[in-house]
Amino acid sequence: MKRILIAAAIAGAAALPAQSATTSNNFNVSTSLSSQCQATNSGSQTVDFGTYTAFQATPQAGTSVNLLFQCTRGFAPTSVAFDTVNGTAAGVGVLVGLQYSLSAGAASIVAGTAATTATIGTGDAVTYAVSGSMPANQAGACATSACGPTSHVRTLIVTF
Amino acid sequence: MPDDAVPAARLSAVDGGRRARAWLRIAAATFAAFVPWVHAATTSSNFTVQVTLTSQCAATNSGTTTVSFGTYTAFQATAQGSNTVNLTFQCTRGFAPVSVAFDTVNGTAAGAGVLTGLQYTLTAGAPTLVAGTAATTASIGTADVRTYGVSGSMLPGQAGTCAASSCGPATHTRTLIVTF
Repeated sequence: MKRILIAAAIAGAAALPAQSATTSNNFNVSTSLSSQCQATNSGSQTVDFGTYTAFQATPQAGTSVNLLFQCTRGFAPTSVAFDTVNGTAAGVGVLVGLQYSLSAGAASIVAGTAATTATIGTGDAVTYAVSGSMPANQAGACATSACGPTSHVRTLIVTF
Repeated sequence: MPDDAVPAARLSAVDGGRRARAWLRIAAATFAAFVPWVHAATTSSNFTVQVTLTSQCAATNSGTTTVSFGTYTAFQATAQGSNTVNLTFQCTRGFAPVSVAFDTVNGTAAGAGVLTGLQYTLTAGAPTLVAGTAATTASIGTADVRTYGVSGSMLPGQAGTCAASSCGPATHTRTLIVTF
């Protein structure tokens, strides 16, 4: 085993320190990372179709919502789908007898900041814009002159 | 025994474990190549879908039907009936009109009118209902269809107004107004 001797002379020091010595021992730091994505604004958004007048001649558009996910940097989800509890995986559903279709746009990704020795960094922010449309000329189902606002919960499922 | 001294038997076990894991990885990779979704994970985000529906009724065969009284012979002794026309409306499923009336442009709201000097009266029967089919994820469904049978009658003994030996067929347009 080698010993490295360092002689240090501090000029002008009133009291000379004792001579210090160091030695080093290398070792490995190892980890496995399981990449993940997770929802960050679940439950707080509403696709609102407003008021649909039965038999209206034009389709009714819903508001667009941005669903946010954070993912491991550089890791992109492979696909998205909707729940099959209140509709189809493709995004179709029915509210007060009115059929609607949801669609999720392509993911918009804002790269996170890398971890440094000073910060843990941030995840990539992956945003899916979800919008909806109701076909024209629907009767709907309502025993009175108006029904609603009626709502149910849908889920965007991101596979990664 | 020093901590860093690994017995040969244990080394062999470690190597065996590594080999087994390596084979497992190869097997898993091969399997994954055929069934790529095995390792997929998901995360989900909830959101709300909301709508308000304004119920409506709309006429579906407007302008295509005719209440015909045929030929009325002046001063005839019996009332003159007409055919019955079916006026159809589609309504939001489960939603019923509250009343019907006739236009007041060519007659009265109750259905009376005059053609070539002949007074007639129209009546609208109670509507028949054929329930629509519910909307599904595959279909927008269909509306409830309400049909009103409208027929007319001309009182007997009417002179009419006509400068020639016969007039007509004369027509005008009436309207059934459904309030909902």
